[in-house]
Amino acid sequence: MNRISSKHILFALSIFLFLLVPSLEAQEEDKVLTEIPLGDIKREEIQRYFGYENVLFRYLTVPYDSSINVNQQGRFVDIGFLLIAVFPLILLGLSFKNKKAFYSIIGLLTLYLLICLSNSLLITLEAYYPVVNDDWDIAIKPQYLSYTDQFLYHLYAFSESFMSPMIEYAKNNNALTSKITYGILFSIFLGLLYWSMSKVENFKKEKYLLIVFMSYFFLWMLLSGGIIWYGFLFIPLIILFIGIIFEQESLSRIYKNLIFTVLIIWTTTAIINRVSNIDVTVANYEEHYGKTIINGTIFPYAMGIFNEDQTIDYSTPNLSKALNKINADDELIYMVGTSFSFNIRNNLKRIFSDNALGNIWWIAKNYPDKSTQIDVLKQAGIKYMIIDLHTPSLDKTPEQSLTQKFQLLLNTLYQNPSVSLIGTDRIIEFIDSNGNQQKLANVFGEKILNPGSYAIYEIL
Amino acid sequence: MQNELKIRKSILWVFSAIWIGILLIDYWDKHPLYWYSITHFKYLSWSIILLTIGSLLGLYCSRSLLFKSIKAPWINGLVVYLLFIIGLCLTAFSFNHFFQAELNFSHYWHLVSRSTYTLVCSFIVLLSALSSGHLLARFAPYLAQIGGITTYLVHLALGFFIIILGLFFLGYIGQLKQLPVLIWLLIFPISQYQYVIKYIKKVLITPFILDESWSFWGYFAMYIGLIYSTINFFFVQAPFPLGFDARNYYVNISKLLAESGSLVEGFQPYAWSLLTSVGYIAFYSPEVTLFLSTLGGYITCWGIYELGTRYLKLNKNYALWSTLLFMITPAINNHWIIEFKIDLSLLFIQFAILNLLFHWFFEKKKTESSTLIKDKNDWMIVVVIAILMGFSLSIKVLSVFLTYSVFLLYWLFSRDKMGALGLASIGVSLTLLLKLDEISGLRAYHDLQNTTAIIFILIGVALLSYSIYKNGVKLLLRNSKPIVLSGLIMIGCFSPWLVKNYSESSKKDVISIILGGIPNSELDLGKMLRDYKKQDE
Repeated sequence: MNRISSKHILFALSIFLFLLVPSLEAQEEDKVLTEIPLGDIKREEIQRYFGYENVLFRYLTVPYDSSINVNQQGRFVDIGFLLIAVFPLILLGLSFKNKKAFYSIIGLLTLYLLICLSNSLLITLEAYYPVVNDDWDIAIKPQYLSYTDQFLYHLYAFSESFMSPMIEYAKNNNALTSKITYGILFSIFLGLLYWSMSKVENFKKEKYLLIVFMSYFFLWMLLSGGIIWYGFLFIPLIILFIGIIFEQESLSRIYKNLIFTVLIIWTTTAIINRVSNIDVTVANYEEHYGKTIINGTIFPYAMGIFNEDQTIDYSTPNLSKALNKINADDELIYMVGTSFSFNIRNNLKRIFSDNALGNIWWIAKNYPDKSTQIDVLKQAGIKYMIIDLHTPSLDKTPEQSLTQKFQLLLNTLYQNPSVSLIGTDRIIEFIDSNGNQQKLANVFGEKILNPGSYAIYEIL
Repeated sequence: MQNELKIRKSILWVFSAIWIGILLIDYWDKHPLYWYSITHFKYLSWSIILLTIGSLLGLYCSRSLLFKSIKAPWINGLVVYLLFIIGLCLTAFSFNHFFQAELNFSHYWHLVSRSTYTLVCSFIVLLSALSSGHLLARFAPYLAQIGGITTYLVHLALGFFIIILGLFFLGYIGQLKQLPVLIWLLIFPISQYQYVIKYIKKVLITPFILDESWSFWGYFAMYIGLIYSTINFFFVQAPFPLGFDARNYYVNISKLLAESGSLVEGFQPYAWSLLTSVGYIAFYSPEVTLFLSTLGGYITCWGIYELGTRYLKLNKNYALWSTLLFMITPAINNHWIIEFKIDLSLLFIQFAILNLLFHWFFEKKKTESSTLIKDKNDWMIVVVIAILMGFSLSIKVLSVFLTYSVFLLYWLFSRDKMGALGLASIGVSLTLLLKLDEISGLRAYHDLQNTTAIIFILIGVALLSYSIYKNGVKLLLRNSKPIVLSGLIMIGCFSPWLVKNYSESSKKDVISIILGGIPNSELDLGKMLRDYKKQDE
């Protein structure tokens, strides 16, 4: 009698699943999100890191998206290009001796790159252009782009046309992809796990590291919505993996030198980037580029020039006066964004956060009259409203839901006798009764000179 | 055959060049600020001075060129401190060239004295953790035998666990005040003063024993890391953190703990914020709080080096560069300057776990055994790893990702691939059954979640059944024991937070008990609307 092998078990399982799935599927209700609700907080707040394309591609493109930062830009999500540019080549190098594995991985990597590029986006400092856009030809002409943007535009367009059957199929069969995505991901993960358990015999120490990396990375990809700092462990593990490739004698010098060159480029540019420290606070002020190795807000405090209160006013004009008023009592506070809770006494008990504006949207839905909306807050015991004027900049949703809700809030506050502005760093210009141009710290005005970052209102 | 190999080598580097080329262009295109960083680089003089010092130091320590004839390089902790102060003052001077404040000696003295105060207070906390960990580790003598950085990492991790546990109970009884906290911090170093004195001498006074295999480039990497730490240190010398999450959540919790003198209601378990609150409570210094938030990241660098050299047998100079590559990653660096979160501290605990685990595995591999647990020492290791995993849960619940990996490795050690695969399948399925994908909101975009979970659980069960068929039940039971024991110990270590969450939360479901209640849940929108409607009527 032949011994039962793992292949027999897997075959039997396939037959069993073929028979089982339809009956299990019949018991599940169709619960897929088909309508995007205005006010889906998780969609706005968390999923901005993960993307908004078809669900299957969202997961598959995670390594590319998190490295290239297609969905969310900023230093806080920038992990460099070692994960996507170097790590797959490590796997290629480790499989070099096995001809079949080597060519298979090349094929898979090529396919993977095409999938990622077909779902990618052109991003410049000034604008944000999706490649697949019905108005693309009318609105944006490639000749107005930089050389690299032009190259990428053609590359994305080629990838998109190559992958269009798959993308179109996924788009038109959203219900199907929503059913099979988890199954596909789990199967890929278990397949890779099996491969590393049985095929990586010659590299025993790397085997354990590979299993830790793969299992950790998979759970991070599945559960964390693409938030980088939930999976920091894989960053040093990738770096250590790269070190392993230099120990492999079978690999050519050219290949190792190529990897080494990439590391040198990355090290040099990352260090220069940190020293120059160009971040969002100076991104619009080219005259300050490269100067802020230290943050200018805290430098006076570190040198003993300013105390804490002076530092607060130095960083955010007109803030300390409003904070002093708030800290003089124990009344409740409605807050949208900002980080002023840190400076508010007993903030845990007093602050009602509504960062994604979901709650004010619901109030507005129930009570369209803006005075009544404020009255609802007042009757709940809220006396102050603190608003981050940068809230719309967080909106990465295609439907711009957060921006819509923010506009609703501003409409509520505009010329509302129930509220009084007690602090803002926005500067507006207006024409006074004598016909002179005047500047004023206010939220609404004829012309905004300095958009500012916050506004604090008192409910009367 | 030879030709085919040559072709394959050519394909390898050509494909690699194309792959790297495309992705580098793509990356650079989406990070235009890197280009501006280069074209607007303004710290040339500063760089030249510091690089010159670094080069000379590198040559001195590696006894190259001018320094070939010296006996042994004389570098101790105080020299490193001096380099740090020089870097700090030079950076302040260079920045002030643009900032143009009127600075005099008193301002630099303020900078140096406050920075020294921050470092000394943090060092006290570090000593407290090290000595308490050393005390606890007496119950696991095997840990001392490991030696090297692994032992220090584990002692520190265990020590922080004990310190935080004590702070938790102080908070529970409303005694998070200066005197009780200081007593708790100092009781361990004082009771083990000989160990502490020996450690202080080793770190600060006695010249370091430098590794012969470290080259000029290895020393240069360490020096760049020191400079990096120095310029990042400015962001710690602040009255408040700059990052949104740090101000609203992590450092805010530390401040609230100091304000109230007791545990703060709501929030997910905040073990590390409890530790960093000693900056406010014991030392009246926000700078100490901020630096303690970043401390885990620096200790992680040791963990990376140790894992790379001792267990992966990498070139030691590459391992030193690995720590630098880690430090310069912008997302990591952001946690040292803007967002003072707990993720780097969690990373340090994870590296303590990995180093201990890898050491244990490779020692056992030397004996060619496939039996993980053979004697008391092995059980001790399982217990220590489980304690650290339970501790990491109280820092961040998502550290359960590493727990999954560790359990897989435990099973795989017995070379039962099918069983390990079965366990892996069941593990990922449980994430769906427990609806953990709801946390990110992605569950709503899937269908048949439970069906998929059941299918993969059945696959897992089938694979485990095959394992039993092939290897017998004994292997299954043997492999399960460390996993079950670890699970129980983890729950035990995490239990204070479970009890806290249970007593505070109005919802008594499993997720609320693990994740904690929403802070300030008294304000409820639904209640707000209902109350207003009632009033209206």
